[in-house]
Amino acid sequence: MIEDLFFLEKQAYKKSPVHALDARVKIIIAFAAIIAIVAVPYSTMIYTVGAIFFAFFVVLWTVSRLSPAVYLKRLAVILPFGIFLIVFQIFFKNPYYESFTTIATLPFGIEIYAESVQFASILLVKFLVSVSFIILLSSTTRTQDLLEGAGRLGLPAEFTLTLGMMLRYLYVFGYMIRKMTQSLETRCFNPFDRTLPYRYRLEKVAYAVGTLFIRSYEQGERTYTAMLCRGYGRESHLYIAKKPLKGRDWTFLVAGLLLIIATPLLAWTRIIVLA
Amino acid sequence: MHLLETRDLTYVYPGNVTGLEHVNFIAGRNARIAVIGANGAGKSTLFKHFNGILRPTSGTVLVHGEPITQKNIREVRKFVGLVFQNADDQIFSPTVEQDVAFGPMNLGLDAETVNHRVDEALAMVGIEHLRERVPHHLSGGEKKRVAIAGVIAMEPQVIVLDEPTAGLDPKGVKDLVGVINALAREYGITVIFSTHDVSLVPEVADHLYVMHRGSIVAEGRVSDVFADLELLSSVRLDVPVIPKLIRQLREEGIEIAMAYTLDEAKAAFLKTYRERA
Repeated sequence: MIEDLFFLEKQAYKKSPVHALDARVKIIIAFAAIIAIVAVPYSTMIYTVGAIFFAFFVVLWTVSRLSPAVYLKRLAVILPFGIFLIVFQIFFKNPYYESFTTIATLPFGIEIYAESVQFASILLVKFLVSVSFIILLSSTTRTQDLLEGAGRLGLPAEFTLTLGMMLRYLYVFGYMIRKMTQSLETRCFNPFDRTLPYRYRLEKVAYAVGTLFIRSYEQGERTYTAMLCRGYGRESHLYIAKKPLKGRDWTFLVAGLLLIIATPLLAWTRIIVLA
Repeated sequence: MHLLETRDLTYVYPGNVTGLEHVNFIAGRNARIAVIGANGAGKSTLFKHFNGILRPTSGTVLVHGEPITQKNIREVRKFVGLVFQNADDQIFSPTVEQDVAFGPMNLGLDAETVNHRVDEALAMVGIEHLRERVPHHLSGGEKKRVAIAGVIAMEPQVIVLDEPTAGLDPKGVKDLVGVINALAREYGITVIFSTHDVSLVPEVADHLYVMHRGSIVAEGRVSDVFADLELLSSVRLDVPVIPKLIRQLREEGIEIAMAYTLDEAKAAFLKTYRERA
């Protein structure tokens, strides 16, 4: 889990036209795509919109020169959460349809409805597109740039400062956990080693977790004292320098937004229909 | 056959940062080996290869003549003990006794043997009185010794210490020097340690490796390596005071034998003084 953090950081440090775009542009495009796909009414036009949005994502991912394996790997981590909710939909009626047709009857009176299956697939499209854009955003933007970008877009100082510290300590504790794991390995401890009693392994893992909590608490105390020493108070905020958008950023932003706004509109008015 | 050997060891960190480049390192039986180098020279990276925490990008690490594999990794870690720079990374049990017992327990030893090993290990580093204490009540030097005891309890033949003197007070450093020397002399353990405190090296090492930017730039007996004082400053290290002083005296025309430790210097000065008188 903790190695995923460093894996993600590694991807975000690569170089490509997508990586080089200003973080603000990427944040706006990603959120615009998510808001647009979520706002599309529950109807089959979602397939058209979804396909075009996904194609847009695929183009951006290709330009970012990241391996498809990176996308699939990260998708696989998030997928179970969405799939769990989506699969359950097929067994329930929902307020988006008037009548329901049963296509299968299972024991214990559980039924599968055709309309609910359609509803689930619409949800799946919305889910996939949203998650894909978030993966794109986080894989091509360094966390500190994301934070600065959000700050420049007007995220209040209270949030940027807190999020900034959170990010900083995420990495501090990432390294701490890595070191602790290595020191356990050095002394031949493996939590999955069946030759050791289960209770013993559980106890040691619990100690390790407990130690991490105590260390994080101590680290917090030290940092807070050090912050006070440098004049931390109610007025404190994260320093974010002004940075004008470049011509390339503007072009991409306008083109991207046009695509994201035009696609659902055209699908709604049935000017383009793919499915 | 050497206890520990690396051949042409190269390690590239993810993100194409070269950590080690063609490192050839040998540790013999009952040796005291110092690895010196500035921050980021690759000392810790090298040490993490000694017990298979990191795997070489190219080259090999041989422990007792055998390359490290998934199959012998437990044996390797029993054979080569690694003490981390920050004792807090290593100590995690509620009491000192439990932490020292952690390694032997993982080796599947019975309670009596574990208890015996804890006694031994605590005695070897001189902290029997801390047995029942909790780690967060200990001083930096005491924690360091608990960390060392935790590794000794696994009875390794090679013990690797990453920056053992970092953050210790002068008394702490002196105690630690005593522990390191005792491990090598009384118990026959090979001790490998890293430091950037060059004045300490002649007191605790027979053999010396100098690292710079991931490579070994000099190696040999302490007296041989320290003869080239320019080399040390070129790799961002201090020049030890005693040889520096004696060299300057010799340049002034005073006939005095070269010395590296305090005792050697005292003898050399007395000899020169008596010869004059």
